Amino acid sequence: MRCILALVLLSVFVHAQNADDKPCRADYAIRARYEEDGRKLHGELTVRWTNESRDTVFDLWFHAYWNAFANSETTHMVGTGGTLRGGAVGDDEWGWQRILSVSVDDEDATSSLEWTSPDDQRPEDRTVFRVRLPQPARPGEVVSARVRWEARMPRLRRRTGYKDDFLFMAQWFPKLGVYESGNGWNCHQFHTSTEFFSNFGTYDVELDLPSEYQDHTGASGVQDGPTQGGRGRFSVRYAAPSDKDRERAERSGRSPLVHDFAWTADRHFVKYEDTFHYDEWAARFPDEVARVALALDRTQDEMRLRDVRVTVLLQPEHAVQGSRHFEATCTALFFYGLWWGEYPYEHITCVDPAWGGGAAGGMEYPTLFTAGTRMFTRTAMQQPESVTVHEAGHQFWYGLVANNEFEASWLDEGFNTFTQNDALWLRYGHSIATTNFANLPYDGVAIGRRPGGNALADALAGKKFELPWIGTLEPLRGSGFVDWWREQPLLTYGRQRTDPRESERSGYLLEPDADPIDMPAWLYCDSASYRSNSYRRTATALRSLQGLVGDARFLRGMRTYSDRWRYRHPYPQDFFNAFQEGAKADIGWYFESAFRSTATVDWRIAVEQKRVRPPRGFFPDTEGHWIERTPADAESAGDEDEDVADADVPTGTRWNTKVTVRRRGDLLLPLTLELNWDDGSSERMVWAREDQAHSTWWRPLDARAPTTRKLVSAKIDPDHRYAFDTDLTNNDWFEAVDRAAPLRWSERVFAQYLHGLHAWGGLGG
Amino acid sequence: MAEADRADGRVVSLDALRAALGRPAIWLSIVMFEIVVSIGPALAYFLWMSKATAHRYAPSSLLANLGETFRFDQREGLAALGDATGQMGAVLALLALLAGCFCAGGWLQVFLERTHGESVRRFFYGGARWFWRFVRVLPLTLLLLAASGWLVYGGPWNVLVLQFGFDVPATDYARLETLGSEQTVVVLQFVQSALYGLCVGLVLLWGDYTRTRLALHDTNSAIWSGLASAWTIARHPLRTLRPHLVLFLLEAFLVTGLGLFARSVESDLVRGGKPWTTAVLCAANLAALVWRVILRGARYHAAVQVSREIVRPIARPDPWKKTLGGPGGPRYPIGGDEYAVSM
Repeated sequence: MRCILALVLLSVFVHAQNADDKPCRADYAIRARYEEDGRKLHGELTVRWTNESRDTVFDLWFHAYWNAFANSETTHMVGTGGTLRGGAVGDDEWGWQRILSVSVDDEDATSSLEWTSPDDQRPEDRTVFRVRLPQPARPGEVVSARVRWEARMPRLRRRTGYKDDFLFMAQWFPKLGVYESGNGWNCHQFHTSTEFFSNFGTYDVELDLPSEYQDHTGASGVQDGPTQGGRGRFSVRYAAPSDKDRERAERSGRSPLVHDFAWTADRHFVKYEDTFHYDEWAARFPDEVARVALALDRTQDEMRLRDVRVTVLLQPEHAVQGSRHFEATCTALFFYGLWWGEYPYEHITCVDPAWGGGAAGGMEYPTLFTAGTRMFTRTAMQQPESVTVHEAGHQFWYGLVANNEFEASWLDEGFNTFTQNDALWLRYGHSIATTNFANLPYDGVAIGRRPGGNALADALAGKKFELPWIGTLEPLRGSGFVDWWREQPLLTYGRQRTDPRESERSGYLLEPDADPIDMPAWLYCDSASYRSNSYRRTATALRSLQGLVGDARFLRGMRTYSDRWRYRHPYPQDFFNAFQEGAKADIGWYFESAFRSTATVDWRIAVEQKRVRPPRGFFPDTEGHWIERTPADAESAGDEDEDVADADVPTGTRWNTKVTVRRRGDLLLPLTLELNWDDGSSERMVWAREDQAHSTWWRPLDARAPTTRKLVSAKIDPDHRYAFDTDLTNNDWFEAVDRAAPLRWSERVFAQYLHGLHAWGGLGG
Repeated sequence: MAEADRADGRVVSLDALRAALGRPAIWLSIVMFEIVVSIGPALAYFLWMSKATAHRYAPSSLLANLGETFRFDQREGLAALGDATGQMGAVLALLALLAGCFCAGGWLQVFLERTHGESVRRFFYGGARWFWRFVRVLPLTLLLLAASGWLVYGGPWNVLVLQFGFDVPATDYARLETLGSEQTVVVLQFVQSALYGLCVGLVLLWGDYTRTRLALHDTNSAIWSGLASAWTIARHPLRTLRPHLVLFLLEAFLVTGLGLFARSVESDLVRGGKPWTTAVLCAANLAALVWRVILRGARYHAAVQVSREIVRPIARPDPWKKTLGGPGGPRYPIGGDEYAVSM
C-alpha cells in the first residue's frame, strides 16, 4: 500500500506536460430512453475518440459511475461508511449500470470487456471497465466505439439520480477516461471525495422521456430543434456546445468544446430566463475593468466578453429567487471572465434541485450547474448567491481549465473558492449571519451563550431532564415563535457581518497541517483534510501568493495559466510553471512550501515600552569620586518621575521601546513590520526569508537605544498580505486600550440575560 | 360598574394595568433584582473581552462587528467563556424561576388584600407567604410544557400528522425529505411552532390562574388547584383568556416598538456609530423590561379580578357555628347548661 501511495504521489509531483501536447478528443452521440417503471434508463452511445497522444493505444477505458451506488461494498460506499448523506441507502434506492454490448469500429468487442479497479483492487467495485481494441490506435487515429447499456437510476443521494419527479442525470453514461502520453489511461474509480476527469469534445444527445416532462427539461449545451411527442412520450435533442458555438472561433482561434454532459427534468420546474450583457456590468464596475486591463496590458475593448443567455430552472417555491440566481450567475460570468478569460458558450443553465434532492445541489457540469437554496433567504445572506457564484465559477476552473479532479482537486476547487470570494466581495460585500425563527431568518445572532450547556446545567435551568425509565423531558425546547418571545432578538441580538474572503483562512485552520495541498483527493487523511486542502487552504495559499507578488503580477500569472491551459488538462507543475512565467517571478520555493508541504506559521509581536528611568546610585565624577544621584537630582536635571500621567509627560521625554517579532512554524515568507509613532511618523521594515531561516525571532527595536518618540502601534503584515498566519490576535500592538468594544458587546449579553431571565421568571410566576 | 362590563377583557386589562402601574416601588424592586442577576454573565463577558483585546486591536475597530477572523482566532476563549456563562446562566435561570414564584406571591398578596399603602411590605410578605406553595406549581408547569413539546414535536405529531397525514416513514421524521416540496415542510413546521406557542401560552395562563386560586382560597394543593383552574379556563375561555390576551398584545406592542428602535440604534453602531449609542441600547432594554415587569403584575391583577367573579368561594367550616359569643369574649356551646338567654 505504501509503495502504491509513494508511486501515486511521485507521479503527481513530477507530472508536468509538454506545453505543446494536445489532449485527446472524445465526441459523443447518445440516445437514451427513461422509463419510470423501475426507474430504468436504456442508452446507446457512439464515441469517436481521437488519439492525440504520442503513444499507440491498445484499449479503451470507461467509467461506469452509477455502479458506485450498486451495493454497500463499492469503493465509494465503503468510503462513506455505508451511508449517503448520513442515512442508510434504502433497498429500492440502489443504482447500477449494465453494459449490454461494446463494438469498436463495427467489430464486437463485448467479449473483451473487463471490469477493473486500478486504485484499490476491490472486486465489488465496478466503476471502471476496459475493452481491447481490435486494432491498436496509432497517434492521430480515430476510434469509433459503440456502447449499449441499461441502468437503474439511484435515489438521489449523491449528485445523481431521482427524487420523486425530479431527475438529475450526471455521470449517467459510460464515459471514456483520459489517455495521457506516456502514462496511459487515467481512469480512476469513483471514490467518496473525488470528482471527475474527461476529455474535451462535443455531445449530441437525444432523450426519450415521459410526456409529463415536456418543456421541463434542461441540459448541457442548448436544445437542438423542437421536441417531438406522441403516445405519452416525447423526445428532445441537445447539442453541447451548440452548433453556433462550435463554429465560433475564440480570439485565440480555438473553438469551444465541453468535456461532460448532464441533464435534468422536473415537471415542477419554473423557468427564469434573461441575458448577461457585458456592457451593463462593465458600466457597474468600471474600476475593476480598468484595473484588470491595466494589469494585463490590454485595451478596454479587448476586455469585452460575449453576451450569454441564462436559464434558471427553479422549484415553484423558489420562483421569486429567479432574478437572484441570474444576478449571481452573471457575477461569475463577469468577474471570472474579466480575470480568467471569456465564458465561450452562448448559454448557461442553473438548476435548483427539488426538496429532498439536495444531494444534486452545488455541483458543476459544462454549461450547466446546480445551486441550492431555501425559502425566505435574503440577498444579504448570500444564500444562494455564494453557491451559485461558486458553481457558475466552475465553468472556468474545471469547465475550461479542465484539471484532473481526481488527482489535483485543489486546482479547480481551491482556485474557484478564491475567485468566488473575490467576486462575492465585489458584488455583494459582507454577508450577514442570521438566526432562524420558524424558518424565518432574522439578521442577528445571540452574542452570549444561553443558560445550560451540560446535563446538570440544563436540568437546573429547567430546560431538559434525563430521567430514568421515563427518558428525556424537555420543558423548554426550541421552537420558532416561543424562542422569539423568549429571546427578544430585536432588543438583544447583535449583528454579525462576514467578509467572504475571511472564511478561507478560518476554513483552512480547521485542518491546517494534516496533508500538503498537492495530493490526490482520495489520499487525504480524511474528509476534513480534503475539504481544507482542496478548497480553503488552496484559496489561502493563492491569497498569500497575491500578497507576495502583488496584484498586477498575480493577475498576469494566473491569466497566463488560464489562457495556456484552456480546453486542456493541467497538472500542478503546469500551474507553477505558467504562473511564474506570466508573473515573471522566480518563486518555486513558495509553491514548494505552500502547496507541497504542511508548513504553517504564526508570527507574533511583543512590545515593551517604558519611559527612561532617571539614573540612580553612585556615578564616578571626572576625578573618579563616586557621586550619588537621587531621583530629586534627576528631576531637577529634566528627567521625570514614572508616576506622571501620560498627559503630563513633558516633551523631550525619552522612551525605551523593545519590539520583538517571533515566528512559530516553518513557513518562511518575507514579513513587513510597521511602526507608528506619536509624532505621526511611520516606518516599515522587512524581516527577510533568509534571516528567518537562521532565527525564530527578530528584534527591530532594542530598549538599549532610547528614543524621544513614543510608539503608538506596531503591526506585523500591515497590509494583510498573508492569510497563512495561524493566529492573528498577536500580530498587532496598540498603545491605547479599547474600552468601548467590551462595553458594547457585553451590553448585548446583559440585554440577552435581562430578557431571558425575565422569561424564565415567568415560568415560576 | 356592571358585572358584564367588569368581565369585559379590555376593562379588566386596563384596571389591571392601572393597578400595576400604580405600584412603582414593587416593579422597580423586581427590575432591580433582574438587573442584578443579569449583570453576572455580562460582567464575565466584559472582563474577558477587555483582557483579550487589550493592546491587540485598534480602538473602536471591534465596535461595529466581531468579524470572522476575531471569532475564529478567539474561538477557544469564546468557547470557554460560553461554557462558563452558560453554567452561570443555568444557576441564574433557577434563581429566576424561584424569584418568579416569589414575585407572583407578592403581587397576589397586594391585589387580594384590597387595602392600600405599604405595598412593598405586603409584596414581600406575600412573596414569602405563598412561596413554597407556588414552588410546587413550578414542576407542574414544567411537566405541562414538556407534555406540550411531546404532543407537538414528539410521537403524536409524528404518527398522526407525518405518518398518517403525509406518509412520512419513521426514518425520515428528522429530515422530511419524503415530502414533496420545501413549502410543505415550512408550512408544517410553521404550524408546529404556532401550536407549541399556543400551548406554552395556555400553560402560562393556567399557571397564573392556579397560583391565583391557591392564594384566593388559601389552600395548599397545587394539583387540586391546577385541575380546578384548568376546568375554570375550559368553562370560561373568553373571560379568562381575553384580559390576558389584551395584556399580551400591549406587551408585544411596546416591546416590539422598543425593539425596532433598539435595532435602528444598533444599525448605527454597525455603520460605525459612536460608543455612547451603547447607553441608548441599554436604556431601551431597561424600558422594555420595566414594561414587561409591570404587565406581569397586571396579569395577576386581571387573574384576581376574573377569579373573584367566576371562582366560587371555598366552603369552609364556620368556627362560630356551634357556639355563642363573639370574638374576644367568652364563648359558650349552644344548648349547654352554663349560659341561657332570657327574653
